[in-house]
Amino acid sequence: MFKLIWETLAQRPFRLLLAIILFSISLTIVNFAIFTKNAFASKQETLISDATYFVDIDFSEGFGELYENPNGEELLKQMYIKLKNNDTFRYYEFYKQFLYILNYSGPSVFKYGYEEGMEAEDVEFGNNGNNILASPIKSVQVSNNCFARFNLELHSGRHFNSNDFDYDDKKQIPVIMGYEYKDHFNIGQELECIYIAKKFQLVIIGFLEKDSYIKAGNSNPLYLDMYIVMPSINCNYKPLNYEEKLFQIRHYANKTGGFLEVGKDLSVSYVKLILDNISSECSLRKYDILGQNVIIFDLFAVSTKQMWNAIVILGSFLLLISSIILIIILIRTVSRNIPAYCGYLLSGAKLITIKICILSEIALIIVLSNIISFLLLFAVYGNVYTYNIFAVLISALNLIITSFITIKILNKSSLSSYMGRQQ
Amino acid sequence: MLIHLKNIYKSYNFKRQKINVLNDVNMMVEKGDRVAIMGKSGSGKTTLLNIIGGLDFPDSGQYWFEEKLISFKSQSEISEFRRKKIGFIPQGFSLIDYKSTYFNIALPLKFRNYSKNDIERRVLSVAHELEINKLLDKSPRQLSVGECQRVAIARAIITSPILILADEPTSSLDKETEMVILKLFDKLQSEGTTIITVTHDFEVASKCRRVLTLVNGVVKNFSINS
Ligand SMILES: Nc1ncnc2c1ncn2[C@@H]1O[C@H](COP(=O)(O)OP(=O)(O)OP(=O)(O)O)[C@@H](O)[C@H]1O
Ligand SMILES: [Mg+2]
Repeated sequence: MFKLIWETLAQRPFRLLLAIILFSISLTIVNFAIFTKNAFASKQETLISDATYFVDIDFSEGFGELYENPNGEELLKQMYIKLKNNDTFRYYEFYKQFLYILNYSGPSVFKYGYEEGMEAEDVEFGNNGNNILASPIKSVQVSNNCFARFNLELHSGRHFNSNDFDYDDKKQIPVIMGYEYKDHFNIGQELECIYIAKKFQLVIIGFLEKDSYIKAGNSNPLYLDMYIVMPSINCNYKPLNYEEKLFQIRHYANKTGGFLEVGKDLSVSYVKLILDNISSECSLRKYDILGQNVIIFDLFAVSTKQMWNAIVILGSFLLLISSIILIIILIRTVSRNIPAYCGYLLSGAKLITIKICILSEIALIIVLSNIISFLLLFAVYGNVYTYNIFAVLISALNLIITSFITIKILNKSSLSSYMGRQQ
Repeated sequence: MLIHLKNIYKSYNFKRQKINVLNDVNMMVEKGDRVAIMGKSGSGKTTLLNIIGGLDFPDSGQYWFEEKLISFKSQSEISEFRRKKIGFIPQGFSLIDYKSTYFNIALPLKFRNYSKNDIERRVLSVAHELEINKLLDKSPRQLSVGECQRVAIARAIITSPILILADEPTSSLDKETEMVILKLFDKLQSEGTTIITVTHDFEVASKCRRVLTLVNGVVKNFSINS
């Protein structure tokens, strides 16, 4: 029976198709805008679950503009705070920046590039008239949470404490050496180094267990046996001279180029969106996500929450209009088809069958619009969280209104009274 | 007794006003009879026909069909009654204009699960009888009013119902085609079919054994034709 009656609404396919497309598009816009607007709030309620992945980010702007900006280093410091305090992901500082160790006495294997067969040259640094030889030694800078997250165990000595990460321009910086260093250096031994063109006093506080490594995401594990592990220090003071300013900018560019650990339920594109939001809040233009395919919407970098608010309102308005158009077209089609429904009735169909048929067609059309919109969003974001309850509610409302009017039109006595009229 | 209507009342609410369309209608029709319903426009003829055909329900009163009380409350019972007993030719034809004429005529048989061959055989024979066999591939939109009327008649008689209800079945036809329809009705009546026709046409009424006259929803006369 259904098969015979089905398709009653497809009588003016062109108009109907247009209404469906318009409705789908406005659904998509509203969903997209609401999702994006919410992303600006960056208070993602989804907790980071056990199933996580790492996103390697990198500051990719030139330093020139920051050097010239009187607040250059402040912007990066803000960025750093925001990364650290973001609820959507956990932030790990972990980057390789070799150190020039002054008057280095250890073996060459620890030198930067040695294992790769491209040993870097020693350099001479001017030091009050005397030139001092400095050797580039492999080093990584880490935040304290890396130890727990990557299970870094000590062979001897002590771990960093939170104090060790605060630097005030005078303090010695404690370092933990890779396992291979333990035969050449001692705990308590002091070293002088140059890290990004700034001189630091280091003191060895421990050695890592053999075969300690850090592996974030798909990257190859980094074995730390030949590395000096240095705390990724926080410079809690304003630079007093230009040189210090340049140092802090480069240092904080390093610090903000770490790893995000993100719940698997969030897509890379979503993370990229949040990252762009944070960086634009800090007036920084660009952070890149390394080694992953991200659809980059440069739009987000320049847009604001207010703008997306406006788009939500505009989209809702469009949704309202397209809803009305869809409802009108559906209702008009139903009204136009009344003689046909009478024909079905007279041929032996039950009224209830005709009603169910029409209602299911209406439902199909509305569900179809939602599926189209869902697929569009999924194609763009690769994320199922994009779909908003608001759009579903509007669709349900459309369905209810259309069904209600349809049922009223098809009421038995109005159908039978129709039959008394000339066509 | 095929049809027995007793104290039938029907009213419609129109703009918050109650319009009494049928007032205490009583009517008996025997099997094989041929009845004309006449009356002015708006007198309630179509409404009465709809109630007899199970397409509308009375506000009060009883309706027996083949000595069985019709319950207007049960949707499935009423639609089965319509499917099994009634061929209805509505005033407005009620054709499915986005399907072919063939589909329209064949639909009652499809709902009754006839085989494809049976359907085709029957449709062709009925269409031939009504001289619309050349129109089967066309859509009702492409037909003239008279042709639509004949398609509606074909759809009504194709299941060989025991009761045919026709609402002004020849109003849009020329005299010649009207004769074709009346001859067809003669033939159906001779085969035992009961026919109730609404008409304004005295010639059509004269073919009927009895004429029922409605005035403002009241039966004024239900006499045997002289
Ligand atoms: N659904 C309805 N709502 C309100 N009034 C109705 C409805 N159906 C019929 N009527 C009214 O009932 C009255 C009788 O209508 P009906 O169609 O039975 O008349 P009729 O005798 O068939 O007229 P005609 O010869 O013009 O076909 C009319 O006044 C009509 O306006
Ligand atoms: Mg009428």
